[in-house]
Amino acid sequence: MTQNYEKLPQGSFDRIPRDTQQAERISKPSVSFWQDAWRRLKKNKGAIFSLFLFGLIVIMALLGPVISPYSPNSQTITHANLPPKIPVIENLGIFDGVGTLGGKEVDLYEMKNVEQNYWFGTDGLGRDMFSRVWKGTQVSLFIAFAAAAIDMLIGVIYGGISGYFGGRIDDVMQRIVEILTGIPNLVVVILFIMIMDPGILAIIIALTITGWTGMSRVVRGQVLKYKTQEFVLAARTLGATDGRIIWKHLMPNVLGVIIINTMFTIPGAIFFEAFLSFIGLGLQAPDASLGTLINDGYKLIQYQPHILAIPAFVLSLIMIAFNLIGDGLRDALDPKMKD
Amino acid sequence: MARYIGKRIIYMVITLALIATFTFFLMKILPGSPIASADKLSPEQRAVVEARYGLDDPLPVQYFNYMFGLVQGDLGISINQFKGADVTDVILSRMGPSAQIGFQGMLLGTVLGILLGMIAALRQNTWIDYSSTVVAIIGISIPSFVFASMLQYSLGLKLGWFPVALWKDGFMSSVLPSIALAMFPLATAARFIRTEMIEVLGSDYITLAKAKGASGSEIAFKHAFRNALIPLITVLGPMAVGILTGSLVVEQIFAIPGIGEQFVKSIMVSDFSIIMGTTIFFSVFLILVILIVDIMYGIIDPRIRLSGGKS
Repeated sequence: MTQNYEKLPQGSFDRIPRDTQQAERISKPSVSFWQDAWRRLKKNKGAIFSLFLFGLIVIMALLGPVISPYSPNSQTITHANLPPKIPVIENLGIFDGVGTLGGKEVDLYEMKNVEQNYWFGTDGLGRDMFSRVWKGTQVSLFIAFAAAAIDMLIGVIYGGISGYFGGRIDDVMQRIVEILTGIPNLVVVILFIMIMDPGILAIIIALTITGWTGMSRVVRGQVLKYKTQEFVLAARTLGATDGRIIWKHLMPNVLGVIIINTMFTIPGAIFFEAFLSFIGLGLQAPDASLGTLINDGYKLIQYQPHILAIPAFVLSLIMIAFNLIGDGLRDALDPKMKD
Repeated sequence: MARYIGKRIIYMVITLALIATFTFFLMKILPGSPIASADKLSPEQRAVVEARYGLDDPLPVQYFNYMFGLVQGDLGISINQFKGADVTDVILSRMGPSAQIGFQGMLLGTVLGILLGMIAALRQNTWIDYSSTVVAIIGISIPSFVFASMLQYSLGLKLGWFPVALWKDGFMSSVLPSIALAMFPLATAARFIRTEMIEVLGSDYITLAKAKGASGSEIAFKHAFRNALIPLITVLGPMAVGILTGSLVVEQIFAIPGIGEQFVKSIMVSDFSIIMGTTIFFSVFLILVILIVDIMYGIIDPRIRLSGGKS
């Protein structure tokens, strides 16, 4: 080894003097918790794909009813029960407007002399399924997001107060939560829907009436965990008010859990809305959500399966996307996993 | 332990009393009359009918009568759907089919789910693992009524392997609804067992077992599987809730004469006493399941401190 070293030409190596000022320099850029989480999330292909897919669904939900030449509620009885027909793709043998009539496969568009194309077909009243499905997606997503936002707001405030102030306040508040969580969600939602006028607002209220308890429990647990730690004690010693401690010191730490929990509330709310509509407690005609569309489609399952299949497919896609995003976020926001 | 169980039972009774009170007053303020074709009756006829069902008593009297009957297991009488039949009898007579598909679905789901999760954990990061994850995600995401109608259309209507609906062919009629209900427990169990197994497989005692020369299957079954199975008990509660929620729509789809189908029907015709009775029945069932699960968990795994914040 030493001999080889001597054979090397002069000047191959520079001597680097020890610089005490350089020693303290941070060589890597500092990565905040959220940047780090985003990095981890980006590695999760399923979650990123789902984010993209969900973005696409939201865009379609907003644009779909606008770009379709037909309004979601206008009825053209002569165009009833048409199967889907999409130009270009129809040449592949799918979405070509062929449906069964009296046990035979016929092009229903030709038979009924329909010039236009209905991309997702039409329903029993001749309404365009394309605009109806996206309109329904809009309504379903709105209900889910509103319910999740209200759950989050109540849950965070309730859990935060209960955990932060502790003592007797916590005792009383927790007993209330314990009894509320004892009541099955299903029962509460159905009962509340029954006493209110059916509609979007009724569904949102029914979903949130006990829905916030899960969030409040999680937030309380996190607040309990962090409020005894040194940085909170330090802040308090320096004279920080309760409000400042909660907002500046506790909230950023609890935020990850809040986000994860919300990501799992949303598919739950979408499911419940569809469920209620399916058993007839949801929106009333002519309002449409994915649930009511599935319910309508189910009645025609034997002859017009597309009326059920398309909204069911969109609903399933949204649910899968949300579960994957939620899983991805849970892994990404876990501080134990650091790159 | 005894103290914990006692405390839980007291909570249970309070919760049930609240639910019963809540349901009772809710039914009273509901729009619509429980008496069939009430509009066509003259005021005198109406008064007779109301007197017969005790609907003319002052509200507190009605309430105490109801609560008193409840304690004795009497849920009142059906007013318009079954013309004076006992609600308790109506519910009990419809329990068979519901219990059968619920039990079959739960059994099928958990057994398959455990198998799937176990194989996925043992073959981590292979195609088996990935496909089992996909199955689990789909099972959790796709609502039971979508899955049920898909099954009904494909296996029932198109292929004709199983009866499309109704409860006439004994076991064969129960196959499709059971599969539809099994999806949720299957997915939950598979996900849960996979995570638990991977954690257990990485623990020290598994390394020790390997070092001592235990065979692969011995480690998998004797050491890893048993310990991964215990926490599964905690998800039995949510699974039962899932099955019950699912049964409302699945029974509707397959026209099964069970409690769920009955419940949806009575909502449509606003048969208040049936709705109240079923609500209370569901609540008792779910609360009991969760209580049993919690107690079982405490007995099986002594490390769990029951008095702690765990729910």
